[in-house]
Amino acid sequence: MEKLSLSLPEDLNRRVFIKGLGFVSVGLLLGTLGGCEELIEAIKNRPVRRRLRTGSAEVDADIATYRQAVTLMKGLPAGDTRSWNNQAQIHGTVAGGFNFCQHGTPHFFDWHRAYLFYFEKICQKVTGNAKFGLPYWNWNQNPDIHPAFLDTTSPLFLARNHTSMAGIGAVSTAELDPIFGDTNFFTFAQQIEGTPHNTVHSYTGGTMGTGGSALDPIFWAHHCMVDYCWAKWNIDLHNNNTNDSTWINTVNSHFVDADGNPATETAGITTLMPLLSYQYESSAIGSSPAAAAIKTKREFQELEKRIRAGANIRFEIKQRIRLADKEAISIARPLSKEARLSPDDFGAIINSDATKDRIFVSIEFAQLPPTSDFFVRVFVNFPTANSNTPNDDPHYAGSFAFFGTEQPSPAESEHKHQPRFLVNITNTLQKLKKNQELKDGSPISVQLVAVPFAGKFEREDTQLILEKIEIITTPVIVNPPSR
Amino acid sequence: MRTMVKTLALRKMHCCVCVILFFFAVGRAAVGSVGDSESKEVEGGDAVYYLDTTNPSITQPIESRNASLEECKFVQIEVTEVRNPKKYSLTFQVYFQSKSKEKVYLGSFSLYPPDNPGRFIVATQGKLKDQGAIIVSMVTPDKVDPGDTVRVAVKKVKLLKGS
Repeated sequence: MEKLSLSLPEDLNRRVFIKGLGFVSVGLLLGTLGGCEELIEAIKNRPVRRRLRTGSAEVDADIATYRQAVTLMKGLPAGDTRSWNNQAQIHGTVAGGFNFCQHGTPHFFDWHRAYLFYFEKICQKVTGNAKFGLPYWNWNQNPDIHPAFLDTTSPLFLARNHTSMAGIGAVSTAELDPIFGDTNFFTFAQQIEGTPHNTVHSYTGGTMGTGGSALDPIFWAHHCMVDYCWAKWNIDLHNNNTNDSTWINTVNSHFVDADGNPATETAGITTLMPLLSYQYESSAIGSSPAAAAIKTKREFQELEKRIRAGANIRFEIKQRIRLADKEAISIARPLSKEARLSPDDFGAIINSDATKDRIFVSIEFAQLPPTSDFFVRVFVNFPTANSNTPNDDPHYAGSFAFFGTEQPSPAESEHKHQPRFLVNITNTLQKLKKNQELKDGSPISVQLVAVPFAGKFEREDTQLILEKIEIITTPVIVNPPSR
Repeated sequence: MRTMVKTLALRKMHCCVCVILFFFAVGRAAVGSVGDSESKEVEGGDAVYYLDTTNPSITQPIESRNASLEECKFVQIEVTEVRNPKKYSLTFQVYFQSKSKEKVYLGSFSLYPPDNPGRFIVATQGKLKDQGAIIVSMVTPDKVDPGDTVRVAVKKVKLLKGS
């Protein structure tokens, strides 16, 4: 069986580009753009998110700052995007349900992490306390809502149906341990959402049980705990996030920065936030004990490397079908290629939910394009797809983008970076088959459609030098995380 | 400076191999009759079962057809419709019941908001055995006033394989 290596060599130009993006990204995560020394100091001294509990002077100080922030945000004019109501409305409203929050999707974790990140920045700004970290409600270790949120005269109070999660299975060690034993990013996230997250919202009740839950100050402490679950699973328990580029490059928006300006983040950037912009005071969740703090630079670098890399995935290719060979294609014109194959050739995969094999389109380019202000959508059996075809069309399979551009090279023989993309089309084929839009015996075709990021291409005459397009079938083997 | 920036670079973001993974395969191992709940067939042959305060549970026998039970990592429960105008908190407890009627607790999930449908998974933890059944029980932690409606439609439970 043929093995496919996913590692790619880096060329000099790409490294230069990576450095630039890395620097800016880190600056944004820290809310500062200074020299290296400032960045190192900011990372070292990033705010601490502490576990809500009584008897800790540090936690009491955090609660006092939080109380002040809530008061100040509630006092901001209605037109200020940082006001308490406006911040809550990003998530949803009591009567209208959800607005922009992600629930029941693969972006539950990252959307809420970005939401908390910007909210924390606003708290820091309005209180003038740049070291403030949102406290988290560890409902597993401390099932009672902290008394500071129960004082009816406090801005942290809101009427709730229940003020303790004691005795509720969804936050118990017995239920959390199997969830934390799951090494798959997506199913772990799905279980955390459905079990402790939903149950705490729903059981606490009152405003917390509605789409407008962010109006209740305990919302932020609850979601901080949900975020800590992710961070603990990823950092302390050595599990890896997905390296699916569609997930990584998904842009979450509708947030507001500390100055009230619109802000966006990619899902990929959020994976670095607990390393670069805040840190959790460790505590136990279920049978997973509090972890020792990272002490050495080397430990930090190794952790950062692992988090950037994501999951370790291996393929064992069973079948390859060539769709296209080397040719120059214009980004201004969608490309459509037809295979001498029909859905019944993949019947064992399309018609069975039990098989582990998946069908991918593999797209290889001879070099990076001269511009990269666009992404490419991949459709199946939709020859008329164009840049206006939305990604919720049933023929849509996925997308990819180029990072970096080809630079003129003095030596023709010098190594060029050859971007390669894999897009899983299994579910799209299954969906089309189910909708009777895919008939046995009719050929399968694949469309590539370039879509400009900013609504317009920087250069419409940009050409992509295609190396080949293939359809491959392979199981996806997620290797166990390194410990 | 050079080293620092390199360390901070988003190396992963530039790995130009992108894999769009659908993270698990669906195993249609669990398809069976309904126990104590009304059912109806919907388009595509998917049965829908109704849970309410009078009939809060469904029992669905496991018929291991396409996949071995050891490979099934999750029970998937899809709540398709909720009538809960008073927004009572709704939790669903999932059990495996063996041939000898012994019930093994697998896990729980809740609706948020409590009238919001969705698709949920609960880990099997390797506790499924052949010729058993999956039980899904709706629990309302707060007392439901007589006359209030709480009615939930649930699709046939599915067993999912892991990645």
